[in-house]
Amino acid sequence: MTTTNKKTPLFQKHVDENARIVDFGGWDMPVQYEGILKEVNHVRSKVGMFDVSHMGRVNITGKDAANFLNRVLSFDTKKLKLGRIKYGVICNKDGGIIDDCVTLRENETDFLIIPNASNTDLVLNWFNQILVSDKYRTSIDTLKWTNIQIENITETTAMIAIQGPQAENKLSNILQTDLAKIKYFGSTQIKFQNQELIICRTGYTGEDGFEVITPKDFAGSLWDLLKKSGVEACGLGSRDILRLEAGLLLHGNDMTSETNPFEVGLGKFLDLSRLNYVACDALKKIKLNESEKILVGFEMEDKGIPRHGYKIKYRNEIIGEVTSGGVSPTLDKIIGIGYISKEFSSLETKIIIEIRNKNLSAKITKIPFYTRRKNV
Amino acid sequence: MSKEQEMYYSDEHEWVLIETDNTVLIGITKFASDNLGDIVFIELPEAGSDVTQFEQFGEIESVKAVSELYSPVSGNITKINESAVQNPEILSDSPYEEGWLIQVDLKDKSELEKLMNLQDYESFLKSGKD
Repeated sequence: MTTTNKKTPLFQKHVDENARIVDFGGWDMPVQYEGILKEVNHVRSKVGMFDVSHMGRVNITGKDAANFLNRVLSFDTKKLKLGRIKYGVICNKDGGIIDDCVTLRENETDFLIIPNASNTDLVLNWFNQILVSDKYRTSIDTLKWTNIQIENITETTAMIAIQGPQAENKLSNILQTDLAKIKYFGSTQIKFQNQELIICRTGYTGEDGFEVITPKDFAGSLWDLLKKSGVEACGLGSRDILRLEAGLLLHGNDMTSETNPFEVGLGKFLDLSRLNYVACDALKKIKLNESEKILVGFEMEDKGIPRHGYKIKYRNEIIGEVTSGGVSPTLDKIIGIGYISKEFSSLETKIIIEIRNKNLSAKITKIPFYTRRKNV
Repeated sequence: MSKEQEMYYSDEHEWVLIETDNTVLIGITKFASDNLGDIVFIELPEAGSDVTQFEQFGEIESVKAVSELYSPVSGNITKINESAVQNPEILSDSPYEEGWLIQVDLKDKSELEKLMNLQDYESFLKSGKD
């Protein structure tokens, strides 16, 4: 298969291991190895690994980095402790979500943000746009950026997600480092076989796990070590189901630049006390005028898979649209999320999903659909 | 001769196996089931309904997508494979045996001439890959 798509440093591994390769946001990525449902079970019960090198990795460094990020991120970067990671959104001036991403504070002046694969360029453009336009603003002194560097390290590094109840144990053994001390949304940087690794206790599956950033030439060796220790390779197909079960949203599917954070239930991730924040005014207004739409979860009562774009109805009236849906092997149900008018959003409300001209019944349920049992 | 060698194939990746004089079994090929991945639902018409060659008669829904089923022959459905409808995973485990979909009373045997034999189907698969 030859395409002009981008390939991760692990691409050849996926091909050698007979993974099925698909286009994902301009990248050739493995959608499945053994089978999507099998891989979901594996991550829930044991441990699986995903090549997530297609996701962006952008260093924002320098004395002005924290101040600048406070202009563009939904939370107060200055409150982020060293080594800690936080989830947030990047909004445009109208309050629309350009991307959702996590930010790691490596030290006083250095930050690393992880945008979605297909949004990395948009995020970089947005940052540059703000940097440039701020040059011409004289009202606020702090906006004269003199000491800030933005570096896209996506192509010089790789990222592997190791997810599942056995993740800590397996990865600790391989790296000969006790990872138990890293808290959820914490991180550490280690030297392993002379390579600098960033280890984040994060993921997109609803399980405990880690995301490891490695220099790109070391990715294959790390992948092999994981494989040898029994960590099963998984594709993006299972990752999509895992994230849906865990109620985690996918930008591009469940939210776009037309969506505001309140509609997707991300209002709690917003700190609007910072006047410098570019989306502050817009978001304050949106908050006051409360949106009509709300994101809800539902489960199917009839047989059928709700897919992106299908209509949601209440009796005969169209009340919204499905944004994500699929089979949940963990719950043995068919689940979905979508936007509907607020008035129909109370739990257990019977709704109808129109699946290829058939009206199939479903009911509103809580999200997340699945929450892991925490033993710590 | 193995079953697969006796079968006829359509370019929509369905197979036809002659059972007795005029009855055939219809299913999907291993290539199709592999490509669909985990199959979740199969929707088939009821026994007694008619199918027309190269026209849609049902749907297969997998974790990834929905695909239409096109009948490789015309005729009347005499039986549907209930156990495939109940346990769609048998289409992946055994696409040529337990995973058959419908049994059809052939309307016109000469329609089989419009289908491929195993050899032709295999070259057809190869030609489809880059």
